[in-house]
Amino acid sequence: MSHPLIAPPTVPVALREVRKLYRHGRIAVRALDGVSVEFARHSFTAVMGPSGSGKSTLLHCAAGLERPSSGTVWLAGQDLGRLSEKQLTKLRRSRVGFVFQAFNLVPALTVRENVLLPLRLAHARWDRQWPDEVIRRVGLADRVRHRPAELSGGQEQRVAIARALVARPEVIFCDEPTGALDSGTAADVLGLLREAVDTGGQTVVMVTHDPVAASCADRVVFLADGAIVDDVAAPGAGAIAERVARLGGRASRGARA
Amino acid sequence: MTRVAWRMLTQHPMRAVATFVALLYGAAVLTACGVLLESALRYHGVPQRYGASAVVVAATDLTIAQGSGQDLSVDSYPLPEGGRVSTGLAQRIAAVPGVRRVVTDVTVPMQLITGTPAGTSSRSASVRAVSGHPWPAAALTPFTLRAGTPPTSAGEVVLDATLARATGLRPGQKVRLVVPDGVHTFTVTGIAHGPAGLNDHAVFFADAQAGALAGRPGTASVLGVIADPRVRTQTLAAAIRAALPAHPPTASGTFPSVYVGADRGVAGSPAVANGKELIIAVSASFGGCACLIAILVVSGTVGLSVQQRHRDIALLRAIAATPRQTRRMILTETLILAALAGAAGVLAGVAAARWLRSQFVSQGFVPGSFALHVSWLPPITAIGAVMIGAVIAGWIAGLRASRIRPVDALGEAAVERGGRLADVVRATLGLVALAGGIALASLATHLTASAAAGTAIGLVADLVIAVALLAPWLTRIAVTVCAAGLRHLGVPGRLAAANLAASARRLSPVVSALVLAIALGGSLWFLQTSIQHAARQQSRAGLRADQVITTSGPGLPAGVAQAARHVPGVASAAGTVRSTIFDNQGDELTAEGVDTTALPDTLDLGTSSGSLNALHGETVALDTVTAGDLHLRAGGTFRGWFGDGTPVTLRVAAIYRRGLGFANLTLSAAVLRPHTATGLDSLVLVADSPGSDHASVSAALTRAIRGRDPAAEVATPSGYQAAVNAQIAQNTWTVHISVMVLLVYVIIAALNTLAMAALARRAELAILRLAGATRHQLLRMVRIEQAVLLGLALTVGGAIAALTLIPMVKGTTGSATPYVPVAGWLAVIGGTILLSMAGTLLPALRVLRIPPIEAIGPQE
Repeated sequence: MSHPLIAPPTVPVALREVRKLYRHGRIAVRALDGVSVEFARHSFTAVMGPSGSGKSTLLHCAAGLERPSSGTVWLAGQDLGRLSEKQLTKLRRSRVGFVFQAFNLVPALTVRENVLLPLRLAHARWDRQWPDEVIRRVGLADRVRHRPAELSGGQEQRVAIARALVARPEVIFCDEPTGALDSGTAADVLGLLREAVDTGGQTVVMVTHDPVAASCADRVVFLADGAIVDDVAAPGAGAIAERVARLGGRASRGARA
Repeated sequence: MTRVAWRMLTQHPMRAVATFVALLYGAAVLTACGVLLESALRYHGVPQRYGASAVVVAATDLTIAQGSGQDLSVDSYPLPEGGRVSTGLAQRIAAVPGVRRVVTDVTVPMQLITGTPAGTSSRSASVRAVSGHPWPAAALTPFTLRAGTPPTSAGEVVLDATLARATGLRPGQKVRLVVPDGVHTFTVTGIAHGPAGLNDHAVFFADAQAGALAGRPGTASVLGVIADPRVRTQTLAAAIRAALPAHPPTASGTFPSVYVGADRGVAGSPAVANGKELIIAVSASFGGCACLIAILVVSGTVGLSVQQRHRDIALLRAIAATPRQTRRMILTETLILAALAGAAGVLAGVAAARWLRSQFVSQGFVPGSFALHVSWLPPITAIGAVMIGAVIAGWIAGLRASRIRPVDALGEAAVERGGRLADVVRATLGLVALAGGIALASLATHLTASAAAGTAIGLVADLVIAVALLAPWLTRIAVTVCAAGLRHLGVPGRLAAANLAASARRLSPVVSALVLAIALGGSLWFLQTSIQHAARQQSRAGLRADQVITTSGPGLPAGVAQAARHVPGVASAAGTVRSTIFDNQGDELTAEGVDTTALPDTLDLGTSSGSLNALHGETVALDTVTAGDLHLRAGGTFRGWFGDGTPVTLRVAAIYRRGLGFANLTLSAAVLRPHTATGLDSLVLVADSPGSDHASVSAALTRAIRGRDPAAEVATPSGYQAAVNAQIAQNTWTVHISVMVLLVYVIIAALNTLAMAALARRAELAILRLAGATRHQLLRMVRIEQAVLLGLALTVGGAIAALTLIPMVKGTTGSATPYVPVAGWLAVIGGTILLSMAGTLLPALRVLRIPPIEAIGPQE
């Protein structure tokens, strides 16, 4: 299904016919093969798929971290293809939040400084209480002056979420945010993300391979071989796991054939 | 952004160490050069000597004008033997309104003998250097007579008070002085006091006797003007200048000038002018060179530190920092370092300047009156230059940092990017540079000596750049060559081969750094050893004399050679004068005046054309290098100036080979001697009659000459040779220091490159350990890799050094074989091995100590 857009979409994130090709010498890898998807406002979407399906690449393109080989990406109402590197960065720091799997924080800065970093760099004004409020919401009010080296993995992720929230972005992108955490801490982090959507009015797009994490989402998009193969609303963890297994089986069957 | 920059710096100070050290070193070198330069510019000798004369007239420089009209270039060179002015000018100057009196002053270097007066063979006699002046010149300082009477006839002297105190002499006592024609006894008739602080050690003679001692009638060192104190000095100086004979701007020669104020210290003191010129030249040129190298080295260290923080910077780029903000962060960081390093470096630089000053004075390059003047100007300039250099380096590194893709923050592959096109461009440029270098090297063999030496640095730079560009391919070639051998070294060997081949591009900074160190150090250092070796060899081969008489004083009076001739067993004794002669371009050439009748017995200069028998009167013999530079052959005409500024034209009688061992020009001593400051011989070469016993002749000689000059010594040829070698070593002292300073820079850059490369392999080594390799195996692998890289660097660096050395050595010594002493080989090879061990093995050891599972993680 492909029809060109006439006007910019009202959703925070939209991709149209996005293709991404990686070249290594003579080898070309098709990471994304004509993906079109929209993420609605105030929604929590999980993107899943086996390794090599292109889910991380989808995230990078949607967030403006990579430029697609062809197709259009709309973020916060702007066509990313028309923006320069500088404009992209400005868009990212004011309208987008990020939570990566690891290495989220600048080790040299304290928790508070890490959280304030996007605002500082944007030379924006902020309400004096807001950053502390956000840190309190993620439950780290007593660790404000600590450095990342003094925090546990889960606490680091929570700081990353606080930083993602502080600029009141349009959309928060997460790349395997609970990948390195135990189930208890993972539940806390997912709870924070859920709360951000429900009460904070944010939009969250999360790439994950964990069916339990994906079950917190309103919608799950399944990717395989660079294309969207399924799009389900509010599935349970069991259904998700079964779907993923089927996708994985298809992939391995394809390899054997 | 400043806060972020500051935090990143203070969290991991070790990362910034290399940049800090490079900046500190740069600031120190610049400050030292700046302080020396300013002190030399402000150095005016001791103007108080002419305190009572507002204006003095002297001729201290040789002016050489070349070209005419638009292309006219005029240069002046200080005269090493001191210039003279005609006493006839005194009348003209006296006619200028405001001038009360014009006094002629000559300075005659001589020695005062202290200790036991009689006993010519007594060793307890020691000599003290003093300067002789005519008594009327005492008014110029002024020296006033406090005790006794002024000297009125020959044989009478007045001593300056500090000298009298030091020697304990009083009016009425006798004193022995070594004057140009021998040792004579004088009577002290009075003591004169000069201004406080003036340690001149002056001895005043009767006017007529001073003139006789100075020789060169009709000339004076300085004409002092005693003027009416009501007349303004500047007006008087202008009027006197106008009264001097005019010369057209295109004329070359020695012209009298007017000196006022602090400049009066330069007049009449060639050592001051020459020392000043030397220090100005050395500090200005070296300072500029050091500045440039500092910028290069700092760019390298900052660039490497950006590379090491790749992931952190990528994170900043991903979440918030625009490319411009990233650049500014790197720049701010570098500036903070520059400010700190600059402050510390300035202190180190002042201390270094003090040490250099004491070295310059003790080596005799400049008189002891040269004082350091430390103002705020050199430190501010040095810090400013360091900051500017840091800005340039930080900007270049910042550009690189701003290009880091935000996606790299997610820990994705660190793929060696760089497509086909980049490779082709790089290879092409490298080959072009290489071809250019080889062409330049072969061209340089056909150039004259000075031109060849000038191309040397350019050649080294070009070849090193070629190597830096072609490094990946050179590494792969090296691996292929060693492949068979490496396979026999087991798994570590195979791993090493694979690593080297795969990371060839990443390793190019390592190879380039090592090659630069070897090529630069090798070529510059061994050029000096080659020249020194050639000089020693030529000096040893050419000396035919059986004894050499030397002195620790300013020179040997004429009587010494005469006395030596009358000693039984001596066939001939030749007095030799050493001086300087300028060619018509203003270049200084060493000159030796020899006794032409005694020539074949005492010296063999290795004549290649013409004959030294024809060397008498107004003739000269040139060495092959000088003859080549000046395009002269036997029968041609040499035009130039003596060291005291007198023009001279000489017919070329012969060309000889042993110029480095002796002098560029050889002529008759009788022609050269009158144009030296002292009029004394530097050496006397003695040839014994065949069949005589050398030892007994030496003893007889010693007895005979002691009466003529107590400071004279009789040396055997080997003893003399040792002194010559020491002198040769001393002459190259400034070059050695410069090379060592440059090498320190290169070592800083090399160490930093190597260490960064080693630390960057942390994850790779950890993976290998997890796969099953032991620490021992991995260390072996690293050592094998290092050995291959070292071998490559030594081969390529050595080739560059040889390629540069051969034309330079051929140009300066005439032979195309550089002399590399064994100690030199060991130093270069050993030094490079130490460098690579410190830079690679030590970091590798440290990295291997971390448990592999941690090491695989982030590069913090």
